[in-house]
Amino acid sequence: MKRFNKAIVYVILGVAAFLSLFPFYFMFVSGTNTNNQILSVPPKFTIGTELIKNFEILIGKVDLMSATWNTLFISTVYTILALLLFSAAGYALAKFQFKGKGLIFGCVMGSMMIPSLVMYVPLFEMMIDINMTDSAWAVILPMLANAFGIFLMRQNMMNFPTALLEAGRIDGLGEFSLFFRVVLPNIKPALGALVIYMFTSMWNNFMWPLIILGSEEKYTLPIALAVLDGNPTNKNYAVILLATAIATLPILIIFLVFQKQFVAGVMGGAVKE
Amino acid sequence: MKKKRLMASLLAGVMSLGLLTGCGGKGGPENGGKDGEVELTVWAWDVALMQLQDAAAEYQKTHPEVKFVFEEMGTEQIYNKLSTSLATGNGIADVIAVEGEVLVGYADKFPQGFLDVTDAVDADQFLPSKMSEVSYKDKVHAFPWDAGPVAMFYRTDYFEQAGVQAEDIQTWDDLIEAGKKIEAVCKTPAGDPVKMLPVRPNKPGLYAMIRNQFGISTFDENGKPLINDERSLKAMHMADKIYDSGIGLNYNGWDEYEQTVVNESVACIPEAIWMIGTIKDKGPETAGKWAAMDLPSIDGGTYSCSNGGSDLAINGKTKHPDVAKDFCKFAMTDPKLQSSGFEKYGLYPSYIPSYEEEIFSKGDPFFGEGNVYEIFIENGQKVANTPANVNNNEANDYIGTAVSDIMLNGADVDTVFENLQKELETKFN
Repeated sequence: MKRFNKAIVYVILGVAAFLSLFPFYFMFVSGTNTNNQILSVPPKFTIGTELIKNFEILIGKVDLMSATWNTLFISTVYTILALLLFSAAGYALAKFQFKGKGLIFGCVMGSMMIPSLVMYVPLFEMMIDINMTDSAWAVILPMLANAFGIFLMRQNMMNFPTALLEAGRIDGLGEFSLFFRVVLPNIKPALGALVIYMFTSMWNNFMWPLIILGSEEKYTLPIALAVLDGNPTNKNYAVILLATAIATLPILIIFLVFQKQFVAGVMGGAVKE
Repeated sequence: MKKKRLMASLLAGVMSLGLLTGCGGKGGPENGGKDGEVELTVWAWDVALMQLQDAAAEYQKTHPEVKFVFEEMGTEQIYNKLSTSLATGNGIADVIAVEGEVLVGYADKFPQGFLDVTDAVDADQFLPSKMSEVSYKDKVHAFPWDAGPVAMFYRTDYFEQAGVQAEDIQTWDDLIEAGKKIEAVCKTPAGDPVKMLPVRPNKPGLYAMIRNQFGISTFDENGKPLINDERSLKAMHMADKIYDSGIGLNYNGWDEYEQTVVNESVACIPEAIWMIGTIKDKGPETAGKWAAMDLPSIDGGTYSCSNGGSDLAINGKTKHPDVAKDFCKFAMTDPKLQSSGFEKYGLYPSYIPSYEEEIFSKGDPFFGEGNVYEIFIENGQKVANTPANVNNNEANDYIGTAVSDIMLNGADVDTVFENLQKELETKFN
């Protein structure tokens, strides 16, 4: 009976896994087929021979190299800055007692309720005023005020043993070295989760970069993908899917590298020991 | 002591950030340059962009001082950027390609957003239906560009197999009869019976096409909905009859629409002239098997209809209004450019004198021996001159819901449309 139950569980899991993995498989395979093979019924589900031809069309239409580089630059710089800022803010909100702490934390959480769409116009005007449109920094800096990241770090820091901090202070560590040498190394799982969150959110970020980036050499991958999809009456799905596959790969790699930390980090703060 | 250190590191942090932004921020799309040089930024998509690049190259031969910066975007992306830019009045390109159906929305929300080009557009030289598309509240907001006159593409080989004569399809009822014959006889390469035409049962499409043959749109010139108008009801009854007859092949979305060409699963496609590009691209094996004829008619309908097409607008705050206007006028009214834009990118001009160009009398061998363009040129001038209305797009969503209720759920045409009329009246009046 037990064995039978297990079999059912595995069948259900297998179906679920197939459903979630198949679109990825189709995306990767379609990049190697022609547009008409994708559109025929049933479509071609096996690897084809058109990869190089599709790739040539693709690089003829968009500057894939510069788009990849721009996205990589923006996402990496953003992730590093975000790690520093969010963990420091989370640390302060979790472990220090100061006046107005509750208010600050309330403001941070409250900002999560503002939809990003309503911020675009004022933010855009601000960027014009400080003459920062059409630059990677205009994409990175506004996103550094991210309530979710601060919240995630605070929840993880709450569980950090205060005794460890006191021991460090008694041994003569300054606050900065305490943070960098004691706190950060001990919350690696949470940092890993943050890396994945922040990196993917920036990698996939579409609307704000689209609005603020003007020249083609500054475009990020999501914008380049949108350019490929630009002709409303004649689309080459093979090329679009190939580009999508290329844009997905780095995220896939990041996730595989950090996935252990990711799960641990999200669980962090959920259980009180 | 500690405080001082903190302040110092904070300051250092701020300074380095400032440095970084200093090298990153190159400033907005600033125009102008050294003596007499003019720079125009252009936003457009795919084919529209390529056509404007051709035009720019031609223009620079006589105006070497004008430089162009082309920024390629998809249509949706242009609208996203345009909305933010017009709201702030900043960061907008000088010349912008806009699809006809969305232009009026911007013209209504931002009356000064686009440059007034009334004096540069000779209204008699463009298709009347395109002129009404770009005119709103006594101002011409953009140059009319490409038009999308509609006719019926059909497969001569399927017609022959089933013994159907194109000349015999005069009315939509004839189309239903012919469709039944074709489905009984013809098979697609995959072995399925061939359907007569693609139908999307959750969009206004077919209904709107027949309604436009009566020369009316969703609203009249005073903004009153015409849903329960006798002609509109007649059109919906006919669309429903076609759907119920079973000759249609249901599709949902652009990819499935293209599939009907790839899989050779339909014998007819009533669509705008730009479909020529899609058919040639997606069905290269069907060369020589296509032709075009007029749409079947509806009793009392004397007009034709159009679908799609775009216009060329100029930023109301451009630093070089005269140069931008001059360039756009050149790009939109040079017959040679218009004909090459049609030949290369399928952009069918709305500038009437360009129909004299050779390409339009030559036809396309892909579509058999006759001149496939002839019927489109004829129909383009038969499109009714209906007033532009801001609410058209939103109303179309409502109509789509009503159409799916009628076609898919079998609801009664008169009741649904009577209700829709009331709904639109309260919503938009």
